[in-house]
Amino acid sequence: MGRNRGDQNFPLTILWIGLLYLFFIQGYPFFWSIFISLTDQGIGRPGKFIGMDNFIYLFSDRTFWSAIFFTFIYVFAAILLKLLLGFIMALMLHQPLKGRGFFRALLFLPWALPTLTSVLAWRWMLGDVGGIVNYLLMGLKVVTRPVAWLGEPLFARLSVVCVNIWRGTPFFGISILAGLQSISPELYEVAKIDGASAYKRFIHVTIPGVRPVVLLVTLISTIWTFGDFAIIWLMTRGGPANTTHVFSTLSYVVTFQNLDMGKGIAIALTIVPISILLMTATMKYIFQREESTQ
Amino acid sequence: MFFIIFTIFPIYWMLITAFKSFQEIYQVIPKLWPSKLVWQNFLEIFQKYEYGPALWNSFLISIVVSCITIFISIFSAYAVVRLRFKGKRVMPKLFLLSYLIPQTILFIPVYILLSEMNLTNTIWGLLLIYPTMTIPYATWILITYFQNLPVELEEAAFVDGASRLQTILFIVIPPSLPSIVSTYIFSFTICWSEYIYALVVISKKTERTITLALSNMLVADIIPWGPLMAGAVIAALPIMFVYGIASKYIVSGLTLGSVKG
Amino acid sequence: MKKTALIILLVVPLLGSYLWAGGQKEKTEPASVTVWMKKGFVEQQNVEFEKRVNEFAKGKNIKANVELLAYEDIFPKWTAAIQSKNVPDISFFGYQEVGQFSKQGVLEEVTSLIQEIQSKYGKIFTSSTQAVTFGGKTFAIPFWGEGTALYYRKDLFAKAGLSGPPDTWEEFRTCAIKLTDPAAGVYGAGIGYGAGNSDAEWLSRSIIWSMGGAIFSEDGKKIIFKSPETKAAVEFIAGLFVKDKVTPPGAMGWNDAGNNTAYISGQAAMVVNTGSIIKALEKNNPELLKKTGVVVLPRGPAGRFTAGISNNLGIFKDAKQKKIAQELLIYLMEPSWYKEWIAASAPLALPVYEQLAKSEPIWQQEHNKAFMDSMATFKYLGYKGDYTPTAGKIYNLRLINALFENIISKGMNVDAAIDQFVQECQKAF
Repeated sequence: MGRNRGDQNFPLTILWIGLLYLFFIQGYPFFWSIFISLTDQGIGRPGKFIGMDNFIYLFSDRTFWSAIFFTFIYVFAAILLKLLLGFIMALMLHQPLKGRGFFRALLFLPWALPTLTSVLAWRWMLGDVGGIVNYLLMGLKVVTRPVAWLGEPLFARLSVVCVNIWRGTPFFGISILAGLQSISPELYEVAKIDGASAYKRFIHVTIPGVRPVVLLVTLISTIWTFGDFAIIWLMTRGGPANTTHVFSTLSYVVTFQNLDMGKGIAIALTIVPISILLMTATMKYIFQREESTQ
Repeated sequence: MFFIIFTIFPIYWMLITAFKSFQEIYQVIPKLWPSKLVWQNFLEIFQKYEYGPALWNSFLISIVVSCITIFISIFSAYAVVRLRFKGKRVMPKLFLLSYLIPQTILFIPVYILLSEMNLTNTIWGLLLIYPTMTIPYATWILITYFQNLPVELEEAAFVDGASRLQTILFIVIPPSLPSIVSTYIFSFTICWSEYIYALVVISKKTERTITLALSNMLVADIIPWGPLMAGAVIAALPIMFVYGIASKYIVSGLTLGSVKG
Repeated sequence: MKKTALIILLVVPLLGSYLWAGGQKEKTEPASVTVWMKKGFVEQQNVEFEKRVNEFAKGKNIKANVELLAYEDIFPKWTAAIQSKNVPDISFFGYQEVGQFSKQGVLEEVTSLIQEIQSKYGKIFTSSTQAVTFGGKTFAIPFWGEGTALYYRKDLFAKAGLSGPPDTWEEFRTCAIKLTDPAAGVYGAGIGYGAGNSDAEWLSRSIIWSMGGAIFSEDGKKIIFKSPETKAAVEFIAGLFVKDKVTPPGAMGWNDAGNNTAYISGQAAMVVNTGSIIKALEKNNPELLKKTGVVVLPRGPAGRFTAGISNNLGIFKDAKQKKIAQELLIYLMEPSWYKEWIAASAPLALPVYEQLAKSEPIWQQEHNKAFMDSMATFKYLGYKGDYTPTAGKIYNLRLINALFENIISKGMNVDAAIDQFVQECQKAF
């Protein structure tokens, strides 16, 4: 490897600055949260240290478990579909089609529009008065009665996952697209010369080429989806009958409406170990040394 | 094909609602096309809901934060991939720590921090905390990208006598433009649609971002669908604009990226 | 050496500019009073309020910061403010928040202030004061109430051959049955449930109380929900959905906008709501307004009850300008300005002064009277006892919504659902 002397200062310095900045702005909050979850602090009231009591209480609470259960289903279903659809979207946009730029911008919109507006619009479309979804479904004779998309537990869960997928797919799509574009066309040519079929080229050139990006966005999106708040809150507030609650929404109700900060933060922190696990598991595959793929 | 309809239809719906009149919006049977185009909603959102200053604030913040993010992440990613130093494996993982705790909880201590620095209710405050949302992702995407970049180009530049800084600027960055540009766009979008930090930090009407201006419309149990959707349409325009400009770079970046020559 | 030099060169100016920015802010803030107010539906209400506060500030030669915030947005802001001790001087509070925050010890006691205001300007409705008084100490000044009434379509009633609006809940049911015409997409009872729904929490309580049931005992310490009266009320409500089918098909997923949308679109012939619909129709659909009648909520065997909504202004204990805040509150409660301000948003807002309710003609007008009258029937969360944070928690967790969702959507047996509800309530203590 080339040079390793003091003239690597500049990038390294920036790296350090970045790290220090993040540590300063996010580190303190991180440790503060952990501390608070071990107390019985309420908003405005000083709390006393109670150790793991909050967590013990939570683990015996029915609503908490139902929130855990649904959070996992929510994340699993959403990530799987977002990955699939995102990949397809990226492949589609990679083709040299006319008006490609316009399509890219258009398909990017779900992720770019402010969540408030798009989620409320979905609420309305799935609702009964002026609800276009039911209108179309009945018009196309797919169903005979309007479906209570937000009223029945099963449908509500489906709807929420659906909106998350609608919103999150562009994130996967555009990222994977950038990854696809970074694969040197030479590799494809070499493979073609060697006589590889389109399928083989896909498996041996495309997939390894985008693997790091795919893993990265899956990881980040998973962590973000675990903490997803706005979509569920604006669509169903965790209902009907607390069936669509996830960690973040339950935590919100307990912290800000019941003013029970200790418990609320404890709820939010329960996902942290899972996220850390995921992170360490996937980091190995993303962060390769230069030798492996080329 | 179905996928495209699925994606685009809600956007289409939001678009036409922005042009519908109040009566039409509240009909039981929805109409797929407004009976006449109404501009009232767009006027209302600027006059009644002060969308103008909000757009400016959001735009400013998004641009500045994205620039800072790109600056920091390009060099950080490069350092992690190409340089040898202690803690090289650990550091990038630390970057991701910021994503672990949901923002719905994180904002309390962050606010306390800002309050101590007297930066609440200002754009400066938001400028200080937004990069924490964008830098980790940006850095990591560029890490994965730089890994794919052949080292030979840079080594050739060293042989020619270029300094590391020059190498980065002229040899590494140009072929990476597609990734850099998409990262910029993501960063811009994250800032553009951020809600909770802005909500808590900003109270003053004049310092609001667009997400606050929009949520400020939800005052009673009657939702002003018309102006709200008009707001969404307007919010979409800068994104498409930035994306449109960026697309050109993505394409040209490709041709610059060839290893030959 | 070079590295440290670089760091210093880059970081110091950055930090410096931030410290400067923070310092600037402190410098340019002379004495000022900060007010957080709930943004009202009627724009004039907001404008006039801001004007009044600015007038006060000018007279005192200080600056005023008035922030009009949407109700939903205020919750996280309160938390951040309280935790960082960076609080506004005066803030709007719903009566529940007064109860909760006062228990946490973050509100300034204003018992003597409210006595001063009443002796100067007139008596405030006792029920409003009681809602924010705990252990004899008052923690906020009631500023305006919101009434709830029954809206009904006069034209649809006439068409169905009904002589007038229902006076009892049983009559409500029979009217709804006659008004329901699924083929035309019209339903008699525009009521619905959903977790985002606070309307349903209020309405259910109103009905249950009017039939003799209640959640809390008079001392507020026991859950007395399991009673024959309550069960009858619960079965009555559930029956509207399941047996009589007088509710719209999507009603089991409504949020607060659900019943308004149903009424404005013509889907529902009757809804129960605050005055927001009147204001919306005034502006956007006057023809529908002409066909609309409003009347107080029907009564049950135990009387007429309306779940009350009371909006207050309070002072934070950590406020920097407490004395000025108190003077500002007196200034805002001055009747000659107050009565104009509140009249601008009638009937969405109701005056807290008993005298104004009786003497001002605006409150006797056709579309306003029912709302004003409803105020006399107000009872608050925590009935049959006083408001307690536990009552607030039960409301926040939307447990009543969950109860009915279990019975209506999940088909749970009524007794089992009631048992589960009581269990969840016990946990909230």
